[in-house]
Amino acid sequence: MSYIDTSIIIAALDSTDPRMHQARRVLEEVGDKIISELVLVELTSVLSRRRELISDLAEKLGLSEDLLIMAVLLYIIKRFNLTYKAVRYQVATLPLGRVYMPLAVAMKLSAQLKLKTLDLFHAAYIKLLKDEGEPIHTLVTVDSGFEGVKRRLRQILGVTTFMV
Amino acid sequence: MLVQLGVFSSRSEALRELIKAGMKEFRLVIDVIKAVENFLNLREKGDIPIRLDGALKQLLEERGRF
Repeated sequence: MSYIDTSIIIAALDSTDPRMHQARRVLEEVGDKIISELVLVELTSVLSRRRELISDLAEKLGLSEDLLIMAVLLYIIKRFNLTYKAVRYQVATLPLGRVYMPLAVAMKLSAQLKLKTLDLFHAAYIKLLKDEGEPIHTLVTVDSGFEGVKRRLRQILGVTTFMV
Repeated sequence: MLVQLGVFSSRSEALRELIKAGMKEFRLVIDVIKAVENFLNLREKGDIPIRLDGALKQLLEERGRF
């Protein structure tokens, strides 16, 4: 099973990026593909700022913009045959108080991975999803931020990084 | 459709959640599903209706800020 980073989904829909066709091919050819709630949030953030696209489609389909964004997310999930998996709602108790589990895991991984915040969150979601039994073996991304930590991702999370 | 899309794992789970959410939400879900079907029909005509030109650069730059 592959964890699909937001960046490759965006790349597959961005005709100005030279990796579009390759990203699309990878998304179409890779088998089991899982995404996290963080992917949905990042996609929503990108979509919500495509005002013209969203307002045109919302008007054409008679939907409010927030529902339209929801429909686009579902379309993307279906289009690339992705599976969205929520992590169980859990809270960790750290010395500084109670913290939502994905954030607590990200904090724990930060010293080892030294990634930027959002990349770190993706690593945390991979760990949590794996801990919940999802057999994730690969991270698929176009984000070069993961390039320098491939070895550590393999050692710490047991995943291979596939860069497009 | 919601089961096919992987939002719910079974029809019974989908029905349970929709009943919990109430009729108003149920209607909204139907609207969203119709929209997804429209997108899929457009795709069959050969085009992906969602184009996010320039969005990858934007996403990666924003990630770089944090």
